[in-house]
Amino acid sequence: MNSVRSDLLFGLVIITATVLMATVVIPLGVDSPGNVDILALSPSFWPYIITSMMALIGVIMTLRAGLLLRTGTDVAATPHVEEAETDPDTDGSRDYSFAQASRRVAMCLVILFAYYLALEPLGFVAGSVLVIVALTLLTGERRAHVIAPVALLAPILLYLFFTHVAVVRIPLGLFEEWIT
Amino acid sequence: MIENIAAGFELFATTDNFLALFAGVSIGVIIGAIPGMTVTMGVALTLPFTFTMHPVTGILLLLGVYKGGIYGGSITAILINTPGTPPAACTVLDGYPLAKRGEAKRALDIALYSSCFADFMSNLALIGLAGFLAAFALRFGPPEFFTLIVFSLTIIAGVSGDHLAKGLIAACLGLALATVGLDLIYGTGRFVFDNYELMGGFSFIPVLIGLFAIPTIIDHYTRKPSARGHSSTLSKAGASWADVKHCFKSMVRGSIIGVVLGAIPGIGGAPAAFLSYSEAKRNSKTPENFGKGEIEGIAAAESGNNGVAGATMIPLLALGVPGDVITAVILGAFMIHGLRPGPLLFQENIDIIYAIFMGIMLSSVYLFIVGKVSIRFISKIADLPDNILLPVVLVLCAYGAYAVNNNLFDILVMLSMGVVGFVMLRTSVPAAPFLIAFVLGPLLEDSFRQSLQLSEGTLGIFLRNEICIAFWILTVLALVLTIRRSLRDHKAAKITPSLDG
Repeated sequence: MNSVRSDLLFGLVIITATVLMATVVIPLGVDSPGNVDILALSPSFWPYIITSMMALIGVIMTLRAGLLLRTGTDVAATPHVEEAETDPDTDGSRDYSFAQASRRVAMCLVILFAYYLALEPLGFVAGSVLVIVALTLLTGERRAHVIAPVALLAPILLYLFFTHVAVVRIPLGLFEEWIT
Repeated sequence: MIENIAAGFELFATTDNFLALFAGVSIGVIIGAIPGMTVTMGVALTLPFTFTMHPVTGILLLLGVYKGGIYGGSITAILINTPGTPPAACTVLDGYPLAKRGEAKRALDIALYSSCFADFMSNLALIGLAGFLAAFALRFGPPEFFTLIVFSLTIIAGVSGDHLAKGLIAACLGLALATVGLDLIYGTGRFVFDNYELMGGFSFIPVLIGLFAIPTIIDHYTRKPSARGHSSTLSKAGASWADVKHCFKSMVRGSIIGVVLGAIPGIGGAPAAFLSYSEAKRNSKTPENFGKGEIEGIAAAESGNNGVAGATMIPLLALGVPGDVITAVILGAFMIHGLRPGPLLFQENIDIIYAIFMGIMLSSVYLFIVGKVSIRFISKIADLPDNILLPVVLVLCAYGAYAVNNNLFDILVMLSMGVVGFVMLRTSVPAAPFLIAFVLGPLLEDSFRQSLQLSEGTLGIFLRNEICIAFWILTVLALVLTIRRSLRDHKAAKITPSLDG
């Protein structure tokens, strides 16, 4: 997608989001007391100002992109060139295909959020050992003698530092009683 | 006078003081370098150890932790894209790109030199200008704060690069995120949705870590193994004399900005770092390099943020007013030892004041020594392969995010911000404006509303004195310059393809 079309789409998304903010999210999400004498002191004043600024920028982006598309201005004439199209780090030879990359990002996100969910039952040390193993395997690293020391040492050393030096109580989940 | 200085020297020149200050700076650098461990936490944790010490020894230990901690935040910002402290967030912008190019040691060196220089300048200001700066700082009320923050926000145009509109949208999103929590004036909820975790708003550290470190980790998995390799190949070359000369103007400017803003209670290091960065970019011959690994960007950010360190002691020592949470803890240390900072301390315990000044000057030297040693060891992190480093960074981030409030919810915030940051990365929406607006947003809104409360709704309060007017003029000038530069770049971009064609 060229940059003008992406700007148009981005502008439209912003306009839609700001309309939703102004009509649904702010009225539902901000509790404004009824006895506010000065409008600018109302708790909802600032969110409305921010939403209005976003809407204005969204409208300008959309109009500008629409105008450029209408006049058929060469995309190259605009300085807004997508980084993804020019960045040598993201060309086909170095990156996975879009489908492969999406699958890997999805797997990475599943691991990250599973880590968060595991922290309460398993605790920081066991949860962190598992997440290091999972993420390292996802990179293609298979050497156990490389993975095991890092996966075991890093969480334990961090636990010892935070507990004994920084005096932060780090949860150990089901290992709490076993260790203490 | 000479007698007082001699008495101060006698108080200061003890082995305990030298060791305490050195230990303080070392502890501070380590704490600052760990994401989630704030300088405030470091100072608060060290406070109980000072109870049995001589007042000067105890206060120097705390000051050492404070100064070391402010510098330490830059280490992880440069090496693993994770600011150890909120003020170091600005250092990320150019520090990490330099580390990715294999110039981590050069970046760390410049961060250290700028930090030491600004720290030293700040100490000189504390000793020589305490009275003058304290009087100036007292003139800052909510309207002056508001105009100052508005001026600081003009940097957003500068850090948005080629994506100004997207940068402005990102800034609005940052401002919006900063509104979450209980309302300052009425105490009612804003975007809390009956979730008590949201009542206090989002903490800075989990948002910062999420926005910078997590997208790097996620993005790593979209690249083939052959394209990943090392996080950065560490060049042995540090910063050269030419680098220091190149950055010197920015260091001086950043130090002055840090000193002036540091003397004003309640501002802190982050706005000083951003303002210094913004001014360095505006005055640079190559502003387009900022954000892509410009060494001057690191110097500006670090000098701005470290310039604050000595200056925050000005309102504390001269007026007895703590400028931030850290100086409030240091005020507590004074009071535990039966001392009350303020004009009376200068009359009754001037020897203690001189002893503290001497220790403060020595802290800059210690900072240099500890920084140099730590760079030698810590910079080896950059040699680790990404396959191993990034999972460990994630775990470090999780421990750090949790440590801020002892709350697992902060880890959820960090991961969610990571997803937001990754989407921003992939859609070319710059993260820096989001971050700046998120950090400055609460100050902006609070000072705006407090001003209107004072004036009972009259907008004229924002022009009430020459400080406000000066900041408005600077804001307009900054915007005019930015628009002119943008139009010039746009024109040049239009001419280039037509010439090529």
